[in-house]
Amino acid sequence: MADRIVSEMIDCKAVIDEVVSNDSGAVLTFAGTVRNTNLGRAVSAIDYHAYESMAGKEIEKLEDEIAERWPGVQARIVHRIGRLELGETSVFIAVSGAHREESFAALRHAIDRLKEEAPVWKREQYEDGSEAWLEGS
Amino acid sequence: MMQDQTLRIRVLFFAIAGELAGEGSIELELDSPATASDAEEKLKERYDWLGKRLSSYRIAVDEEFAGADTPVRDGSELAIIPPVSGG
Repeated sequence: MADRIVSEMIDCKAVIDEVVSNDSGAVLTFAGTVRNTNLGRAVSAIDYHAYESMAGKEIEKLEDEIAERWPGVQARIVHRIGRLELGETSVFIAVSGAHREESFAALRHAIDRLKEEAPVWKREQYEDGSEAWLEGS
Repeated sequence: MMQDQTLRIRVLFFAIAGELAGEGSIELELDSPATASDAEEKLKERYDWLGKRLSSYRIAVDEEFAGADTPVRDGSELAIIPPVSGG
C-alpha cells in the first residue's frame, strides 16, 4: 500500500487506482492546493512539515474509520510535505463507493478530520520574504 | 517496586514548538512511574512558553494522542503537538 506521507509530487492517478473496483459507482477526489493568499497576506510558497510516522498512522486510522462508518466505501489519503509552490497539490484524497451519497459524505469527512487530526503544519513563505508557522486552520 | 527508578524519554517539538524550544528534540528524565501529565509539568518548569506563548497544544505518546493519565515508559517518545495546520 502506498505511503500516506510523501515528499515528491503526489501520483493522483495511483491514489485513485487504489480505491476503484468493480463495486464502485461513484469515485470522488479532493485536491488541496497551495493558495496565493492567507489571512490577507500574499503567500509565495508553503513548507509543509509533519510528524511523519504519527501522521501516517492517523491517516490510516481515518481511512479505517471511514470504511467502518460507510460500509463499502474506500478512502485513500496522501499528504505531501516539503516546499510546495503555488498551485501544487498538498493533499489528495480519493474515495470510492457504490453510490454518490455516501462517497460525498465520506470525502467531506476525510478532509475535515484530516485537518483536525493529522500532525502536519504549514510554514508559510510570504511575498515580502518573511515566513511564519501557521497555528491551526 | 520501581518507585526509585528514573526513566528517560525523548521529547519532540514540532512546528512553532520547535522554534520556541530552539531545538527539535531533547531527552527528559522522569521519576518512574510517570504519566504524560508528569512529563508536561517537568517541561513547563523548563520552558516558560509552554502553556503561555504556546497556549494550545496536544501531547502524543508513542505516536498516539495522549490523555493526562497516559503512562510514559523508559524509551517513550513524547511529542508536543501545536495546533495542526495540514491540508
